[in-house]
Amino acid sequence: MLGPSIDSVKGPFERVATPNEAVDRLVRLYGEATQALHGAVDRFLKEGEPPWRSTGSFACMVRRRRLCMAPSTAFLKRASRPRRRPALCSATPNCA
Amino acid sequence: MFRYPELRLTYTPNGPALSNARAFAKFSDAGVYTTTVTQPADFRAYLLEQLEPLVTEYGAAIEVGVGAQEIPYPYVIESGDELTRGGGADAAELARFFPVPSLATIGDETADGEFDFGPERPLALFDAPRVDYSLRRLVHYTGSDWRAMQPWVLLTNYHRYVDQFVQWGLKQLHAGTGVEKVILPGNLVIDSSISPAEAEARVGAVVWHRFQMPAYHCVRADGRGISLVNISVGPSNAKTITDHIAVLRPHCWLMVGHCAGLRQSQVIGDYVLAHAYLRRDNILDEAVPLETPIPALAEVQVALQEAVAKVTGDRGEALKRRLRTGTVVTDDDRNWELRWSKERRIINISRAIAVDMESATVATQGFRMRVPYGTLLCVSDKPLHGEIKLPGAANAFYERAIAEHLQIGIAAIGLLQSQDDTLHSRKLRSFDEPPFR
Repeated sequence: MLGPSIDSVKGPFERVATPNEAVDRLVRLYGEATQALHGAVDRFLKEGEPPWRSTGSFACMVRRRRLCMAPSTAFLKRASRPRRRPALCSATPNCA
Repeated sequence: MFRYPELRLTYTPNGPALSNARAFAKFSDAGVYTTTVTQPADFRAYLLEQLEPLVTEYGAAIEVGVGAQEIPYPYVIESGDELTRGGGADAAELARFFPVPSLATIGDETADGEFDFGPERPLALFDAPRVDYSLRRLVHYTGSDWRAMQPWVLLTNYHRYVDQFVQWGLKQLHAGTGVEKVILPGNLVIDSSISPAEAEARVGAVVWHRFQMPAYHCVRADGRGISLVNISVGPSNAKTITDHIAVLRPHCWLMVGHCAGLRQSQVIGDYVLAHAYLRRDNILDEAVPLETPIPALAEVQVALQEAVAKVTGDRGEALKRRLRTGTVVTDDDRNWELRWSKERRIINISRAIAVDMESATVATQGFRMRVPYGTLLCVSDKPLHGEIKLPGAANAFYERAIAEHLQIGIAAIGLLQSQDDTLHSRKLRSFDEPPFR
């Protein structure tokens, strides 16, 4: 099951009329994001509350690895089995 | 939720491409240009400097939204103490739940010309994760808040320049010349409310030795402040610190330090103005291949030469005797003299006049990161002619030479500050340059 594409996780973009308005909006969005993150880290440190409970959303990143190798790859001697075919693999780790 | 804001500019020209002599804030092609932004309040002046011409001259449409890149949690924590309060959690535990710095998302591909054109092009050389990474490293290496870093930077390979710089800064502070405060390693702030005697005492108590490349800042509100970073010896430090200072988009960095003179005609205390570099530093060969010329920047070269004349009072032949222009060899081996039988030929055919361990690295990084650069060195020994550094001789030399040399660096910056619109040279830019400088 593939996760959402990078573009689909972007928020809505708002057209602004002037450079000053653009910087004001950047400051606001950045402030909101960093305050939310700081608050979530604080709650986690003090109460052990994982971030998605307070935000109501699943906040873990999607890890995605794209394999573009040719189908016949050399044998690799390692514990995990290497992929045999090109694929797009994704997972939301660490949030179980 | 925890994501950087993103700036998106769309350029759809109606007529022929605009011709503009400015090195930055211009579009090479129609298209959509994006970058994520961190610390926008602190970068406001820089952002406006880029955006205003792009809107007024090119009619670019601006959009702002939430980007896809997550903010790693260490970048919103001001100090490690915050993590240990209330029982704390270790880094591995936090990494289970919060975005962490990921090397997969940080890199210099844009600066190094390795980006692919997708539907969106890079708007700036450095996106938010790359900038945040460097801001934290700057604090670690220099011992001061990254916000203290000034847009005009002197780099030195010798700690005695620090004493002179701090003394100069304190003098400016109390003389009311526009310096508002002097910031020392450990974030020690000295402002004009502190008496000269108390300031001296505080300077003496600075714990500079705790930091690998301590920085000292003469802060001005008018954008003309100067920082001095003691990068110590070697190309590794030179690359490291310039990798990080570059994200602040300074106007210029100048190397002022010591070198070995290679010509019989040079006298200890003479100056070397580098107009070319022989890159034996071996640290940037992949990012900037050796066959890539690192050009001297006319504005910087002229300013340095004029500053030498101004500070020393020398003119004409006297100036030519004192100030030699030529190629500087930057070696990654301090004991290059012990390989003389092998080094002799390359120094011969390059016509090099001096050897050091940082200048070519600093210049190449300036070229790579599009930060104007220059080098003025002072000859402290002449290993090919039997004049090596001796403790007694060194002290007499240092007393006289270092104060003068530092004053030349500061005077050169003064000259450059009057022309910062042309200082950001087109020589540093490519055909497919991101619009932001």
